[in-house]
Amino acid sequence: MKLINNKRYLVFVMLGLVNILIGLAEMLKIIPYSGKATPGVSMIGSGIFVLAIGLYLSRTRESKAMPDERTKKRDMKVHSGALGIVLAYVTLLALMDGLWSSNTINLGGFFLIFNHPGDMSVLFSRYMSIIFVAIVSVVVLTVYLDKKGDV
Amino acid sequence: MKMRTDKDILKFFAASMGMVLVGVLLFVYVSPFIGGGLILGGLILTVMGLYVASKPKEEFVQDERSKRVMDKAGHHAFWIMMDIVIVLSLINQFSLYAVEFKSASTLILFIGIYSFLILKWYYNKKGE
Repeated sequence: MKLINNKRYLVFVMLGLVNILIGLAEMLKIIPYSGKATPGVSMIGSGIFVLAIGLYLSRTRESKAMPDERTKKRDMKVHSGALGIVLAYVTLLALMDGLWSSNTINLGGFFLIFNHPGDMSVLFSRYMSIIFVAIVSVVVLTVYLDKKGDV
Repeated sequence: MKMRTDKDILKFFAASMGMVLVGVLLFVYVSPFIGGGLILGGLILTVMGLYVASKPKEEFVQDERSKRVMDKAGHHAFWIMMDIVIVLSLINQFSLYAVEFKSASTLILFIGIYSFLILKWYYNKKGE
């Protein structure tokens, strides 16, 4: 298999290998299980997925794997918009934290996942929700700007 | 002094007035601290609106270069902020010490806003 040296390929391969190693270390009890982390097997799974992307990119010519000028411009616009959305979301979360900690407002069970940090699963932690909002906003903005044309 | 009264300016004033109103309600019924912040923000926006309304519209139209600088700064600031969130999330999951979001939110906000401002300044200076 002929590997082509491009930047993306190296980043993805390294990331995949690190994920797999962490997963293995956790499964073999080399690093202590904190009780909150996702099991090692999912770490290995994501590592294999990222490694596969890296290996695919390694076989693609750089001119094909790297985005063209229009895609680059679109991505910059998308990320710039997503930055605003994520900042607004973090502000909202911080505001809700402030309101609840001062016990001045009670919205009942509707925002239960935000209300009891101790009970939250990893999936619904605030950090994960920020990453989730960022991914969704990037996807939506990309589709919108792609449809709109004229970036 | 002639003031502009086009749709954009009116929308801006409506938003800032709305912010002041929400701030007053929060000040009275919920938390004086948060309400006060919103009132202050609304008043600052009103002053900014008055300044913008006193200038011709053409003065605030961004040129192509400024738009590119903004997008580039926003793009990099977004990745810096997401990296911080991912690192905090990993620390929260894998270490025995939980990083409370209440303390981390300020850090995330500051890093997001200041990296954007610093990068904008840097790209403006650097040029093409």
